[in-house]
Amino acid sequence: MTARRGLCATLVLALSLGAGPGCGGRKEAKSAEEMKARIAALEQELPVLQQKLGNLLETDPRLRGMPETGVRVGVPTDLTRIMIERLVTGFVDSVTLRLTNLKVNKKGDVKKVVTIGHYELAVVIAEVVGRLKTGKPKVTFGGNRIALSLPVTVASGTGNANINFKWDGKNVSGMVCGDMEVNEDVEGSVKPDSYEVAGALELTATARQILAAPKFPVVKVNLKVEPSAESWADVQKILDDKGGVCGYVVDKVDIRGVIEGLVGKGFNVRLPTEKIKPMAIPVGIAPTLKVRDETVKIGVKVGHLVITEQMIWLGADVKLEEAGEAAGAKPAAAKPAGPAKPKPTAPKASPKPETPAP
Amino acid sequence: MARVRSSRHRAGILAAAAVLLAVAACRRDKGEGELHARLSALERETDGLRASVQKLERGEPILPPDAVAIGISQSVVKDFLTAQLPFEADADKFRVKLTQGEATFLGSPAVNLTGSIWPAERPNLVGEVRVQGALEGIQVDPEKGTLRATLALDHVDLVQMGGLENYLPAGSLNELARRIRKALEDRIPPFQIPVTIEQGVDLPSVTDGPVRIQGAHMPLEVGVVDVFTGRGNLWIAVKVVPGELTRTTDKTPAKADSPPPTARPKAAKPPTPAASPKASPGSGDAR
Repeated sequence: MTARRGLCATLVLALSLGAGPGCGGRKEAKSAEEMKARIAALEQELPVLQQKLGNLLETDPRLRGMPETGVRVGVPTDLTRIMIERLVTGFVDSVTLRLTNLKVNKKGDVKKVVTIGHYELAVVIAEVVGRLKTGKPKVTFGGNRIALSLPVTVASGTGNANINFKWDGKNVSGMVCGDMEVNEDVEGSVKPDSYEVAGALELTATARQILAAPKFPVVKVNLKVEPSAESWADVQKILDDKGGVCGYVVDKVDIRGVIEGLVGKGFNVRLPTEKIKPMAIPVGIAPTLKVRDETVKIGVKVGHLVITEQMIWLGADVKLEEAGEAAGAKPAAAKPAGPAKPKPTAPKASPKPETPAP
Repeated sequence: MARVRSSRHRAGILAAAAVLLAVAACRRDKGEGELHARLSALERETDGLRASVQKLERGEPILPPDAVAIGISQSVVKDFLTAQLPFEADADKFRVKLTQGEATFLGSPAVNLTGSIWPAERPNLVGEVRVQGALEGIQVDPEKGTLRATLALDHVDLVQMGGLENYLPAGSLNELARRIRKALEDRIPPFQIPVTIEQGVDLPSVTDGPVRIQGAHMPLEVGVVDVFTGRGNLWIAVKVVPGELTRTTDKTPAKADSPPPTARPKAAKPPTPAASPKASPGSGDAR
């Protein structure tokens, strides 16, 4: 009691010394009556404003499809489009197709009444490198789907190869043009070609982020190599030097024609669309909350994704977890899309070129 | 004994004199404090609602159309708030411990905290305190990539002071409350909202196999540009500006199970200064 009384005295003294200017000094101070009147007016205005706001918000097209969950994230489709365009373009433009040690060959007999010999023509492409380029992708939203189409061009590239022609003369010709071998390294370039690639982005959401995974049908790019004029000239010079039976054989086999036939069909390479990893739309819920020295786990139950023309909505229910509770969150996918959902391509670690086309 | 009695007598006289002084200085009664608290809260809410309604009536979107909208319900914010309590601090000559939080998002991001208060030197005289305020200055934490806000205090109500309120004039209590509010305002730590806004997207490189992909990084400039409160939700508009894709020099071959392009949790460079819009225009007249 004594302590309380003493404290009271101290408090009152302290307050009274400081209170005077403090209490009376508020320029906004209102009398109780003024405050009551103002409160009454505001209490009348508040529900009217709330109703008005509710009605006005109903008309906002961006809010359509918005989930009714504790946490909601709405990503404008315009922003998503820009991100997808940049990432997809950047991805495709950074793709280099590099094929090595491609072997094509043709063998046969040359007859002049009788078989005069046997030839083997082998082309070994040591390396062919092609670069991809893309134009502006077309991205459309709606029906819980993001459709994507883009032109892909094999823009440029180079290659080097070895041409080996072996002739094994038989019968009389063997005496005149016995064994002949032409071996020449050639260089060339990749023929530009364009492809239209169309697919979709499949959205899934985890607690951490929304992921947009590209889903494209198998896309094959045909890499055509064209020996350079200089290389052809070198080969031609060697062939032109062959006269007599050998010249006949060279003409008969039509080495240049065979090479063009072998190489000209190109080499199919499957574009590794599965290597385009899901793109993260960078908004999510942190799995933990650090408070002073303690970590509080956040349990997140992710709801369905809704994709409208204007917004991509993700809803999640969040609760703080007691120690020991599971923090895992099941990923959620966009509700089944209506039309043409492409089959997901089986991911492969390293796609092999389908060689050769011929 | 006589000395004790004399001392008590002096204290009594001193107290009485101080009370008279205090009463003369402050004419407010205890009811005025409550009225003031209610008025502050209502003004915040109606100001916020009016601003939102006017915006929509002008045909403007409630949040910038190109911004990512993050909505958090008041119950979730309450959970986040509770997780960040208790908060204990010195305020004036008192110790305040806030233990419970409430969030009400009608027209402003209003937050109420309750807890206990005691004189720093008399921990046995425990009273009850109620703090009324609102979330303000919401921004992206450049370190964590999460959202954070400051708590602007409108009003502190000393609900009871361990019996001392019976001896003190209401005006003095109001003044004490004002001083505690001032002291607390600077000490309350930022309120964390564990919603992450990443500041970059990486595309991993692939350096083996017939198809080579050079890695790339797309920086994202992020910042809070607007805040709207209504219908029980706090809406935060975050502007995300994708930067140009830059090639990375990572020569590490990508594994088949290499992680997807991940958004970077931390910014390589600090994000643009996040806008710190006031949670709602104006605050009560207690500020």
